[in-house]
Amino acid sequence: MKKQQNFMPGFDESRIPSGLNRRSFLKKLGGGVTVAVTLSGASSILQSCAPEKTGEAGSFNAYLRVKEDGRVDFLVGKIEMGQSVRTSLKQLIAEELDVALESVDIIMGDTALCPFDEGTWGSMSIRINGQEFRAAGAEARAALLQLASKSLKSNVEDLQVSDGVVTLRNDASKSITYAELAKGQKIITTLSEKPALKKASEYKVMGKSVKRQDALIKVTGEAKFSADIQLPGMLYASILRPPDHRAKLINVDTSAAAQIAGVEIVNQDGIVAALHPDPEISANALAEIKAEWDVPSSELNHETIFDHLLKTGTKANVVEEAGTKELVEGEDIVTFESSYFDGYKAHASIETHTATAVMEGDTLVMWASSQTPFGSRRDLAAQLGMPEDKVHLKEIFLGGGFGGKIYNPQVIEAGKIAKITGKPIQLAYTRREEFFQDYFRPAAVMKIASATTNSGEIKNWNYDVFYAGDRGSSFFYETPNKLVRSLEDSDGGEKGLLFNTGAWRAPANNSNTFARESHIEQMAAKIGMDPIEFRLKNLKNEQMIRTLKLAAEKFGWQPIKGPSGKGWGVACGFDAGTWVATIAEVSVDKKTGKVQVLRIVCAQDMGLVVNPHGAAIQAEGGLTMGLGYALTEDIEFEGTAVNSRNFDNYKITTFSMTPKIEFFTIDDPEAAPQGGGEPAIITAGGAVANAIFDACGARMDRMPMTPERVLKALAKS
Amino acid sequence: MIFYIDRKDYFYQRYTFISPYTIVNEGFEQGNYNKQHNTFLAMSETISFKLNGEEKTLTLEAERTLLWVLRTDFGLTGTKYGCGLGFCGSCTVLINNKPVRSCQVTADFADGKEIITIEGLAKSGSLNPVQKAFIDHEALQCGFCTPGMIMNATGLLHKNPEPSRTEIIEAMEENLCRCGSYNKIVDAIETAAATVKGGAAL
Repeated sequence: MKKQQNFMPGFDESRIPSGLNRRSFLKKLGGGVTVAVTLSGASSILQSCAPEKTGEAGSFNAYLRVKEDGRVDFLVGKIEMGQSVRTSLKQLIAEELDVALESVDIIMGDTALCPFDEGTWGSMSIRINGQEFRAAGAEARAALLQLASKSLKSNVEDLQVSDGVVTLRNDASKSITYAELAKGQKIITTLSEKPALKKASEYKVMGKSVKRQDALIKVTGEAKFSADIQLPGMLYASILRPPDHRAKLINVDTSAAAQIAGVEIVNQDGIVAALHPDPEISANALAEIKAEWDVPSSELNHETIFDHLLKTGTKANVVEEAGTKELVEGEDIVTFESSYFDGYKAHASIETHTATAVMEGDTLVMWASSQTPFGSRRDLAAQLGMPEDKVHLKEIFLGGGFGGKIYNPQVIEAGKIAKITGKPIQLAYTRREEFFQDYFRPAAVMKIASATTNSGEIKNWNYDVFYAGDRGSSFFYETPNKLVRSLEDSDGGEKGLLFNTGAWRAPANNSNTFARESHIEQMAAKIGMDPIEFRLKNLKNEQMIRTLKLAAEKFGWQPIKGPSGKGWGVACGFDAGTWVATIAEVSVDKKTGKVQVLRIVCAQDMGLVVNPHGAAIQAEGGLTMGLGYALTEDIEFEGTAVNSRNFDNYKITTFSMTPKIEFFTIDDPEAAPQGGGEPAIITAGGAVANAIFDACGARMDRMPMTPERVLKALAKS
Repeated sequence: MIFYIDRKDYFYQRYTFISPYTIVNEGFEQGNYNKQHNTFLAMSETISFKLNGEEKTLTLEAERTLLWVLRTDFGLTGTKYGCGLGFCGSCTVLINNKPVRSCQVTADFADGKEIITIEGLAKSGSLNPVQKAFIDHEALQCGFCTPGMIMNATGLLHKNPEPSRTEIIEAMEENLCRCGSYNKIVDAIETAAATVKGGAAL
């Protein structure tokens, strides 16, 4: 951990959370013992999914307060979107502070209460920030113990803490509670040096399965999402959308819509919208707005896009290089060349992008389904010409995110309309708007040329990924010769990608892992080697090896020579610090091409598992979601008109598609915790593709692996 | 009346869209179509129904979708909009103990009937067996599809108190969860069914 500056004295003003000057920050804090945390890792770990750098990293990001009633507030700019981070954070804090889980309150994502945070993405909340959050707990505990040593007239070393009660080790009758210690105090401190964190053997709360803390309010309908905020006099907004992303508005006539009783029209600042207290009437009024569009024609669609990507993808960035790119030649050598294709995917959270906004005096108050409340505040301030401290995003649950809610056009739209009208506004996208406005996972092509000896030593790996991005493209198998290049990336989409694209749960890694693991299995099959034996033969990374072995053991793997007819497929991968190996078993109906996944076994090496139960749910959820991109999900489009409009023609995973999923982790409690929300999903495509090959010999080179494509591949096999 | 358009979706009204549930634009221009309310029913109608155990009376000036009536007139925001076309099930409520997609029926459909939403499922503060099992199995993540899942599952158990795993999957198939909690949800429904068999009331 980096050395942090002390808050007092001589505190650096620039480190105060944006929007709060030092005096108001101190005033805002009540009594008790407060520790501020700086998230040192945040800016350097920005990955391909980060929308942009903020320049605000280095300001402190989270603070912890032991209040005068003994309860603990932990305020953090992260958000809860289903990943159960609220629960894991409670565990970290309760562990280091030695208090009961129930006495910790987590306040998340409120831009007026919580210090700055870059956003919730990249599986970072526990992986990158977790140790610092723990350190804050340890720091507060140390401060409280010092106070306790005075009141109990003893050395700090002679004290012990349990459930927020400090006692003398050798005399349990002498005790004092955190509440008593915090009373009348106003101590503020930042982490000045690395505090001693607990060892794994001392854990009481971490590493134990804890049920999610928000389940009760989510099963009773009490949990509030952004559309559930209903303000007096609130108007629902329906915004005019073009039929095609490149369409230009030539003419708009709102007169008929304005005739409808109670309807307000906004036609200003790039927004044409109808507003009404009844959401159905606002939508109907919008239908009365006559708009004329100029729509350019285009030959591109979801079938022709891949050639276009290959043609336009010219800017290459070398990710890894060793030896030569010339394929090794010789009698003992088998060479391969293949391309893999992945179509656009939507995030398709069940909650659409939503914002409820109101001007309270000169302050814009908003509840928004944003993975980046502070980024949304910054964007709103810039677009509305308001100071950041006059924009306040409030804590709210998100109905899924998956990267899609890093991008929040609805926030700007709702903010503008609220400011223009001065009235409370709710803007909740319709499902079709959601598909139209989404920042898709980019369509991508992966080209691979490789060579192996007949005995299974990989000699070459030339890998070009077009437009997906480089995350997950590193080749972790051993080879003397490799060249891994990323051509363009998801941001280089201007000429190639047609649509806004962005982070989709483990960005780029789903496409890259599908391609790499499909190709590896292809090599193994060609030389007649068991696919796990082939992988192990080319692996030196101990973590990957032990993870793959664990998955194989739990699956009950027997050596096969593909295609064996058993329908078994393997995929390995690395994401967000975690090593993952997944084995799938499928059946393929050779008449219809329909694939049914029967069983999935997944193993992860993810360091300390803070909440084993939560980790299992994240992995299972990821794999379940991943079956959708592997088998059914594909954005259909003509030019830049999006034809996927609802769940009938954009099919996500359903109950009947979901197999039994078993999840295991490597036990390594002393290791730092790694990512949990993203890693497992990256293996879904490769494991299923390889299992299809093993079942029937059809080599799938394109996702989703629809029945038609399976039949086509089967005919070629 | 049951219809098959998302009346909140402007696109559906302006552009032709082919799906199993399409009503094409031309239909709107015929009969007694009321432009303001995008409906064929323009007369005032008073309906009464039981909502979460309480008698309610509502005067409708036009056909309105039950989902939006529940959310805006009664503030019952536990019932969610997910797709507007009945594909995702997030808006499921019970009408006379049968699961109904509230985005696919108009409010007059409820006249004389009994509606239960997620807010009305717990009786005098104690959760119904399905809600309880969802917590015990942690059969939820973001929680947005959860009310619809629980209502659909409760409706299933009213009809078939001892469903097999296959019957559960069939009955739940058109409720969508993006977080991937399906297996846990099936487990939870099995547990709830066992509890109901043991005498717990739905």
